[in-house]
Amino acid sequence: MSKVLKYSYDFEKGVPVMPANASARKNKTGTWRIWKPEINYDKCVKCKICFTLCPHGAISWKGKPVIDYTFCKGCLICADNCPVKAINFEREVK
Amino acid sequence: MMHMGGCTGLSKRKFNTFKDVPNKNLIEGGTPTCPGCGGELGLKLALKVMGKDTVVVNASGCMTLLTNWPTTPMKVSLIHNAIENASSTATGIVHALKALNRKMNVLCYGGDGATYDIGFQSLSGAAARGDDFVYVCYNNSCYGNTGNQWSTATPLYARTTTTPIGKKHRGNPLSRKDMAKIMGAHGVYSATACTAFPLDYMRKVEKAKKFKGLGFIDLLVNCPTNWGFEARNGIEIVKKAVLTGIWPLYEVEGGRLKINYDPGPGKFLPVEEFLKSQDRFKHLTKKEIKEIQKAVDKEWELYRAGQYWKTDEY
Repeated sequence: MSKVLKYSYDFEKGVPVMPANASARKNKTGTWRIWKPEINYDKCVKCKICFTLCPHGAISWKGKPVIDYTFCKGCLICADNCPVKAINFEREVK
Repeated sequence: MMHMGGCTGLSKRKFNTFKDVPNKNLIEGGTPTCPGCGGELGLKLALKVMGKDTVVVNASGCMTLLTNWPTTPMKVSLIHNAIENASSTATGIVHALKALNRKMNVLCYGGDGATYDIGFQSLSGAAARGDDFVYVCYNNSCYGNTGNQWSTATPLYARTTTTPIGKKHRGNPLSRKDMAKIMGAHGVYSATACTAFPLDYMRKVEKAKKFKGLGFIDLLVNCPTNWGFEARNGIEIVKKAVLTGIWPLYEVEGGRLKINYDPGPGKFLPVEEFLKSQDRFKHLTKKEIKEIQKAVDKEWELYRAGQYWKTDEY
């Protein structure tokens, strides 16, 4: 509960103050993953399709696609839609 | 209801290739949606077009899960409201922003239950009044959040928990209603889209944003949990819905219909390819598949003949 108390409460308006700051990054959804996708940068043609189609914002674009494994849920939509099959996947080992 | 005028400034096509997709995500990781969620993908792509100065109005549904207090994945404002009055809330926000003299976009994001069934009267009212916001309906053809109940967006013979399979029952006995045509009849900008064609979808959001009045987009999204398929095949399956002709891509501007994808007579894939890929259509017999194929073929004949208002939706 100590985490909850960090957030202030606006008693005049009667609502909790919840700034739009992407604070859900605390939830490490990467622990849900069963299959782990990995990008082979030698094959990658930087077409941006995986970045566009990733539903969970786990692929960011830094001149090339970079997978953030803290949030990747392992749906493998990126691997299935890669036109040059540059994204391989294997069973997650924890 | 043609008083809102046509679309303005539409000649410039902004999203021609994937390289034009903005690099910044306005919705970030850590969301509690199912892996491979199409609804979240639709919201992510819509926000890329709408930009940072946007208020998202969320009708109750799967996307309510996004902002579990005290965390939010959003980088823009989001307001929750009941399932039936998302459009009324958006109307209020549009007028409040006008009174405060602030230029912000309003994006209303609701599921097919909130759009086709429960929230229809408030949406129709907002369209008739000409309130200036974008409404995107993420259509997964059922009430997904409460566990796959029947909605009027559910296609013919689909299995849901309220239209089960048995000796007498063969899934949904009714065909779905065509929301984009109903909204097109209001005289607003109305279009259908699909997450498998993200650039087409983003162009349509851009058009709806520029349209003075309500812009409506009916977006077909995949739902791995309720349709019954592997999450990785999601995009491929909704793509097949377009390639088989089951989900026609069109837009209605000022009462005129424009078909976005039509390969020509007899060039669509057989509907079986779409139906056999999911568990909700697993029970279909050959006779039932033929019936669906016949309905789809008839619909496209009418589209090609220009008999837009006579089409009988599959």
